[in-house]
Amino acid sequence: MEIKSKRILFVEDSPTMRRIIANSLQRLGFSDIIEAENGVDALNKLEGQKIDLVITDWNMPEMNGADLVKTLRSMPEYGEIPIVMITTRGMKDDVMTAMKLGVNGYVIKPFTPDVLKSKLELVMK
Amino acid sequence: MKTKKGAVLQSLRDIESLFEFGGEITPFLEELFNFLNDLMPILAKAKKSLESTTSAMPGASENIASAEQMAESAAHTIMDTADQIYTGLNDLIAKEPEGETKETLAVLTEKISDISMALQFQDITSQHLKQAGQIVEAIQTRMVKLFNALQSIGEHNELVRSLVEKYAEEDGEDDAIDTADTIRKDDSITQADIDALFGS
Repeated sequence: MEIKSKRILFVEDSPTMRRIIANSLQRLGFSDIIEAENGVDALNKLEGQKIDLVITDWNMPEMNGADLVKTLRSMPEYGEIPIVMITTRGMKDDVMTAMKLGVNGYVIKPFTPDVLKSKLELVMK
Repeated sequence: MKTKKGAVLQSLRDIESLFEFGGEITPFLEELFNFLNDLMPILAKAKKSLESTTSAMPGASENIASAEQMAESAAHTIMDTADQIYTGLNDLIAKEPEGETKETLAVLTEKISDISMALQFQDITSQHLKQAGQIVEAIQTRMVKLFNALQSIGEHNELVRSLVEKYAEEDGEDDAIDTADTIRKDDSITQADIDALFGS
């Protein structure tokens, strides 16, 4: 399956960042994109959908990215789904926590389209 | 008789050791007293400042939220324009034959994309401001608790109470940190209101 035909769900509470990520994904050639505002919204949008990759922010209201990852990893259908975290949290402890939770790629904001592209290619190999 | 003599000697030794201990501890107590004496006016001033900043906190939070909204709105305006230019340039690239102009247009497209990406600063600064606000509020809460605890000690101790009251009266009023200029009250005015004031 062509990497650019994969369906991506990205979770981000900031409208500005949602737009930047959506633009970046589209310019990288991804067209099948679903947006969610937080973890709860993401879980609702996942229902009945076949998703190939999740991109999530960490700091979000209602359900943050770490809790979303934990929840997804506990669900049989999403236990192995590639997850990339895009966040301002740049401390080593944060990255270690994300890794332990089962995140496959970690991008610190601000990011460039090239960095995003390389992470997506890496986790979707 | 011998036992009694031994007991007396022991008591004398105890007293002697107490004096030795007293000799060691007296400078420490003096230092401690001097430290507390220096600390009391600072605490009294801090208490006054704390009271004024606590009342200003909701206004400061509103100002931050307002600044975030303005920055977000500006970011979207820039992005709208950048997207239009990006689309326009791509249309031109599609029509343009291979050559220098096409390459220049492609470079410009990348530059426009860079402008959009740079707008990530809006979300990043917004998150940092929120975190800083949360830290300030947490410190504020703990300081209030500390002063309340000090006050409750004062209620049971005449000396502490009189010291706190003395310093609060003497120094607190003049030296409390004035936040009036740094934390602006909600007295904003619209351009329409200004125009109306100027009669234009």
